[in-house]
Amino acid sequence: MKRRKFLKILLFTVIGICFANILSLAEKYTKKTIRLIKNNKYPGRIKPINEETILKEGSWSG
Amino acid sequence: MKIQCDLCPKRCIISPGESGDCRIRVNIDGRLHAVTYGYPCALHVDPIEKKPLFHFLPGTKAFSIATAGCNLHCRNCQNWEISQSAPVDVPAYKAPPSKIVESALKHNCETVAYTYTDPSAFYEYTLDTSKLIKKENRKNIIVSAGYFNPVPLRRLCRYIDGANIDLKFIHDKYYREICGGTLKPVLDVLQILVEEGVHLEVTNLVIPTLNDNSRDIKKLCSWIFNNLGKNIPLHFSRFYPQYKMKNLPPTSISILKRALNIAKDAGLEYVYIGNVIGEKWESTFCPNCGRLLIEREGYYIKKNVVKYGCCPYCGYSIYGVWS
Ligand SMILES: [Zn+2]
Repeated sequence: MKRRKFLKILLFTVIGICFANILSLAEKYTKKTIRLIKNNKYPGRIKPINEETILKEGSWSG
Repeated sequence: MKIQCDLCPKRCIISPGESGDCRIRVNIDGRLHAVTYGYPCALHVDPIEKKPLFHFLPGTKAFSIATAGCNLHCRNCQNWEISQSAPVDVPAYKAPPSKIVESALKHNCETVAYTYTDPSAFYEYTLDTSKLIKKENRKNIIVSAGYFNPVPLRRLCRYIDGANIDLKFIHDKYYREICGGTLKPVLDVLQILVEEGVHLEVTNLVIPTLNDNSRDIKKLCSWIFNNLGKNIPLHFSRFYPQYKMKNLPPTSISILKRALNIAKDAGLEYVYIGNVIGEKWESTFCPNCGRLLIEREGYYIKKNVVKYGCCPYCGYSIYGVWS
């Protein structure tokens, strides 16, 4: 009985931790990404600077 | 080793290989790295009126930059595609501070604006770029939700000339529910900016059923009047349904007009309605003699008679940065 109760608590704890991780906004980075960041490289895709796009009024608010 | 970030009031405790709530600041081997430093996802030349800054070098251009990520998570964010994404998922330009200065000068921009997402999250990039811009005798402006801690904010104030800060709600409850933040730090930031002599304008997005009631608007205006001053321009902005808040209608023009009247009755001298085109509430009138000083149509300046920072008809000093 005691063992059953313990397993139940353990199961809920594991589920709880999983949910907390999913809900967390913190980003977890892969080893490859961390290597890039360490070398001051951007972890995402780099796009070329286009002077025409710069001159157009920004589509973003603010 | 876990580390605590003390840039914003969230004071995230960050585990190795993880980022703070802003998704920008990553703990690598016990040191914080700002992963978007030198990698803006947006570069644009905007009219300064778009920020909106109405009392700051009217009719000039602002070289506007932003990086991915934000320390607030507003359910109504207009720029959520870049603000609510991790840098890994947002393509960016390679543009170190020196490149921003070069581009701003090339495009004849009087100012560099740190905007769209939030300079309180891409802080170091803002700080270093603004130092270089000052050396070129140009100006820096921030457009922000004002979620900074006092120490880093005061350090940045040495190089910042103007700010438009969102005062989203006058109730802490809504800051928590809608933005994942708190009210008090934003009020502190507004007061610090005034104390530090940074030109300040405030924006309040009027959202139907949330903050559009007369009592809240009056409370917000009175707070500005009592704590910042009657001359701080206030922009009421029209809400449009988007991101996670598509269930609410756009703000009606009559509610915005009511807000404007409440603000004037509260004693504020310069009140505007934004996100609505073709109305006279985007022009500046002299608070003393009532004459039209700056006539705007959208972001376009049709007329500007402010002379040496004063009304040419009665000599009243008009709050702003005019040269
Ligand atoms: Zn006058």
